[in-house]
Amino acid sequence: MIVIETISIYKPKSLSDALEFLDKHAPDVKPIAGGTELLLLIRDKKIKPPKYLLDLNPLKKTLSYVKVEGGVVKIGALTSIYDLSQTILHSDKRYAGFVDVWEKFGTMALRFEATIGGNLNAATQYSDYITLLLAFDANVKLESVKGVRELKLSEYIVDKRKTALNPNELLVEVSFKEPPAESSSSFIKFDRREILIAGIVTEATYLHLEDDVIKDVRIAFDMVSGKRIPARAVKTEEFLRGKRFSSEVVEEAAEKILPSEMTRVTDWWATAEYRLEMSKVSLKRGLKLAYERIRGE
Amino acid sequence: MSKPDYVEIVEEIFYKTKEKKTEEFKYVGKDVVRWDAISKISGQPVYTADLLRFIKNPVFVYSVRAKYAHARIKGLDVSDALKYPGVLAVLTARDIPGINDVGYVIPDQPLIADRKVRFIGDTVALVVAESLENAREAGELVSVDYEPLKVYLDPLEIIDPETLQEKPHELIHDERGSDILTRYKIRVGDVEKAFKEAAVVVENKYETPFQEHAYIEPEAAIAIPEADGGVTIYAKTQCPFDTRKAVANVLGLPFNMVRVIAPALGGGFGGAEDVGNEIAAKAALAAIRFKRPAVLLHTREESIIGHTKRHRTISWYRHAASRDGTLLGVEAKIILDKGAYASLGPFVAWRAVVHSTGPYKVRNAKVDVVAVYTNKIPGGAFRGFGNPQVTFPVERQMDILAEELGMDPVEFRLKNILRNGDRTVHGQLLDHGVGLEEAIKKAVELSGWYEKRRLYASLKGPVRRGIGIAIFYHGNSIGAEGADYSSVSVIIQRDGSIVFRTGLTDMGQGAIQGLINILAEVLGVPPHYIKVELADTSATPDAGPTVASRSTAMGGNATLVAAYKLRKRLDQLAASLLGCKSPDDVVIEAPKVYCRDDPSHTITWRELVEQAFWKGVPLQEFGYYRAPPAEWDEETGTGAPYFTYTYGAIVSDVEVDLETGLVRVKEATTVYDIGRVVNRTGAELHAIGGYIQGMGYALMEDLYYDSEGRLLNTNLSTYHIPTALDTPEKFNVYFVEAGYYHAPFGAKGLGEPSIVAIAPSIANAVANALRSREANKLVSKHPLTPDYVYSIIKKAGVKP
Amino acid sequence: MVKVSLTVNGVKYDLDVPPTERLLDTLRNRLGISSVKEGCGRGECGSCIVLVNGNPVHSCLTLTSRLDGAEVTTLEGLAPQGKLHAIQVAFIEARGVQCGFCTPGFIMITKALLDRVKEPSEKEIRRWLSSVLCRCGSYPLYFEAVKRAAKYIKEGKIYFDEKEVREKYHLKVLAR
Repeated sequence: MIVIETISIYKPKSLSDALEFLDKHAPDVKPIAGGTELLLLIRDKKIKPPKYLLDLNPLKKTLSYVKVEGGVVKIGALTSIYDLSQTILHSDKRYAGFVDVWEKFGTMALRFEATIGGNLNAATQYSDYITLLLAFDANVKLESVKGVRELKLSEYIVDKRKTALNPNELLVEVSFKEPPAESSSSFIKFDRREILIAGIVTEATYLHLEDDVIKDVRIAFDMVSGKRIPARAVKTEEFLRGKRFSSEVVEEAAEKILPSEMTRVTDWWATAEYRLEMSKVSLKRGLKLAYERIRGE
Repeated sequence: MSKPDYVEIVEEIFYKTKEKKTEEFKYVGKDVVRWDAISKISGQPVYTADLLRFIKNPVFVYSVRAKYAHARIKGLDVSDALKYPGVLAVLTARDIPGINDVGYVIPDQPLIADRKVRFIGDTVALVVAESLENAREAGELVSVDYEPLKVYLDPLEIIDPETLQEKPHELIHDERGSDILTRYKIRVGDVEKAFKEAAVVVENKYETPFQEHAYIEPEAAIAIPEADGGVTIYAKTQCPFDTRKAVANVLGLPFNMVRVIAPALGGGFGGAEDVGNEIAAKAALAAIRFKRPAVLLHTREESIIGHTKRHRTISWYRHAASRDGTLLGVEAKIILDKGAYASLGPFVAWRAVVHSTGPYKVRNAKVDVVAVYTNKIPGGAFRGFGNPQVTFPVERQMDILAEELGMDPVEFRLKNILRNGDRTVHGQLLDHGVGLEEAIKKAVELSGWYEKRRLYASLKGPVRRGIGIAIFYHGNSIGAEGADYSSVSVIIQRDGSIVFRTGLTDMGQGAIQGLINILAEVLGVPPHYIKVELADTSATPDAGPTVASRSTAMGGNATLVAAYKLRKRLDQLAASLLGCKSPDDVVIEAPKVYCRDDPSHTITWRELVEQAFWKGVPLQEFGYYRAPPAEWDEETGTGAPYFTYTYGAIVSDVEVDLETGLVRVKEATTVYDIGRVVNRTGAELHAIGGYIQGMGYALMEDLYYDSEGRLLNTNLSTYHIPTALDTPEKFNVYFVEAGYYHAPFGAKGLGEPSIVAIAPSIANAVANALRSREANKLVSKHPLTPDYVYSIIKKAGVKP
Repeated sequence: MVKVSLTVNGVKYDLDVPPTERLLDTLRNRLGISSVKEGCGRGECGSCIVLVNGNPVHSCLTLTSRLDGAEVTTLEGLAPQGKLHAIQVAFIEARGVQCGFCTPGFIMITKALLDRVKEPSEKEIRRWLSSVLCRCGSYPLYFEAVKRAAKYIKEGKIYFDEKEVREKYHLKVLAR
């Protein structure tokens, strides 16, 4: 058998070793975490095979964690989706949106392989943790031999399959401000079948109430307008902020405000019209779910 | 003319056991653990690709496929591909020693396209290399000079639906001079009069989608050159004898130089019919050429673009009924979207026309079925074979008619169904068990039909429930498609163990277990005495194709005949050894053999076999059965198309989300009249598994093409099939046993029937949930995707 | 080539593999372990699921070169030589086996589930089993198999003598 092998794999001894390797070989190197996305991109010839794969498994001990420190929730980029499910993110009602994403996330086996960092770096409409974390107004921490920089997740995801990550940088952490007690979150996704789906639309809600007044709200969709990447529905948020939570307000936000900022796309799976209608339904359901969760219903 | 002995045997056993309850049999109708269950839970069965570990020094074969859906091939340059490391050859149409054709029913499909390509998936060259990776990479370097032609994706661009005449267009099959593959019709009674006299006429257009088999094992073939110039092929094929014929034609070899063995198959559902021939021929071509084992393995994507699908259909139905709910007449036009090649299309179209009026008393009918070529992946065989495509519109029409008449859908059906002594639309007298009425009544009872109809009508809120019924009949075996025969051989070994051989394959469906149960029951030996050999063209007798729900009835009859003859001989011998009054008094309950009136005086089965050996009583038997030829008049669509029919009634209970259009099945009730249950586990697995596959067909499965004819959903994340999470919460399964006298203990087939009426039962349930006369008419196609159902909700103005 | 030391079903192997070789290919082509099936190569069908350090993974999406020091368990290694695991016996008793191509994947995901949850709910069973696609549609019978297996394990019946299982079940009539 004649094997044509062009890719080499590097196993770093430490984070700094990994960063040095990256710095030395960028852009001919691709870090590999779970590999569930990258290997398919290579297989499908959607990306040029890199010269090197940088194996991130040796950094698991350093970069797999969920911790709440100084009012900030920090998630290590190499935390697997399954590991996320074993943390506070799946037991505290404020983070209930994480449970919702999990329920619809690929197969069980994929949840052991895929990592949160990998999901963000895939940078597609279907990277559900981007949509969710946009609702948490998350930041990403990028590290290179030169140092560390932080970016808003919304700035990090530039376009379909395009992030602000420099070739010599590694995504090491995603973080967001610990939400207040009177808050919760939700994530809505559905399709023809229950699992192994892209979702006709996906929607994430973060809601903070004071009495019944919407103190803060953030809403993200798999896309809002223009680019096919997750984004916030800012006008809808603005409309809702400060208002008393009621079904009338929710109705108005969904039927009047959301369509004014949303443009959907028709493709072979579903029409733009239907997707827009479903975005409205998802918004209503997402808000209601988050509300009920805060109220403990 | 006297009956052949095999018919007499089958009849004798049927009438002898007619009144016997299924519970009273020893093995027939019992939950016998499958012959391969223990090896399967250990991961041991050898599927074709698993053989690779026993193969030394193989070459790999990769199919270079067309990049255009319709184009003339002007030239082909393989020089770059040949330079690629590890490449041994690039084979083109010129390298085929025999006939370059693998068409199943008619010779319209080259193995390697030479003159033109007709869909994106057509093979234009085969790369043979030292590794699969080498072959694939080199495949990209094969350069084909195409002259693109107009691509036809919609059959209505080719045929006028009004006149059913072919429109002028750039022919896909210019060599045939027409892109109408085949036409069938029914002309019975006076349709015009029936419609004139009707109180109610219901008319609608219907569409059913393509369906991908999505068996979990992708296709694989391994060909091993033999010293005598022949070739042995292991391949994923459900019909090894058909595969042998195709390979022999391609190689220009006599049949006996080509040996095809079907190892364990990871699902077939009809899909492993013609693709088995293609992959086997491709591998064999390379094996013969290089005198090395040749391996062909499909990826999932190659599987999806490289094998046939269930035909898509567009149909127009008109039904007439009198005020009292009597069906008066049916008029229908049905167009099969054929895709690029005939495959089994002519037979599919024929089965569609036969079943096109459903299991009802219809005296006046005018039906036309036309199969039209397009530039898509060919339609072929898929469980149900044309019947699901006509049962959907018929059963939707029945529900609409019932609503128009103000009748309950069950009552309306009961008024019109076929019963024993009735004649089918084709004029065939149903002279034996028709368990349809009983099936409907049982399904109604098990599903709680009337209570749920009432309850669901009163539900409020955005999430509705609905319950729907659909019924069907399904002709067993191949009918007028060809000679319908089956054979097995049974060889009792010196130690009393038994070897069972048949050319019928197991693709997972487990029909072989039914044959084991029959053999054990007749011989009087426990099933574990029996070992089943793989279907192998050089070692097992040709039993006809493993298709059309024919294994249990046809294979069962052949098994019954062999077992009966052996048993007769052994009874005779045992009677003389034991001193029984007559051979009929011999009881075989292996290991014990005794006379009925003296159970204490026994010999063992092994002793009996040993005596047979010494006394010259043959211990081998060949069982053969041939069905009477089917009758079919091409001009009128009358005759006796199938020797018997399986009947069934399905009730689906669904939830519909009015805000999203999302449909989920909550409970399923399936009742089938299968004559006699011979293999209970297998029957139940079909009742459940067929439902789940049918639910996929109803709710989520379809193929999507871009405007150039490129399939867009080529993997299992974009081609949705049901998962564990989509499985209904509850199944109610029941079997009616209205026996057929020319079948083993009366048993009929269930493989295909188990999918036929699932989609319409779900569609009827969805229509019921929407509670709107307008919506009822709009539910006219599937899959019932959320956006489609949502559009119906909006159009009909259904409000929560 | 990458040097990898790997324990598969309790046996240690020192391998030299190309960096991008999939665990699926290593198991099937180098080690002759054929219960691991390739149905899609993309982590969609679940037929290639094996346990790596106790976690269920798609062997088609796992690079062997990254598994130095790992422990891999396939269906062949579920029970000691001559024994069958309770899950396997439960799968026989539940009568769900049809074509069998997906069965190894189902058994492995069941193992991963029961290693973590002793008495899984119907919902949990469905969620875990949704990792594997079965086109024959045996799902409801496989749910039943998982429940039976959980019961056996709870009762401490983890391994069964293979010969006895054959005696008891091979082509034998099952009582309802």
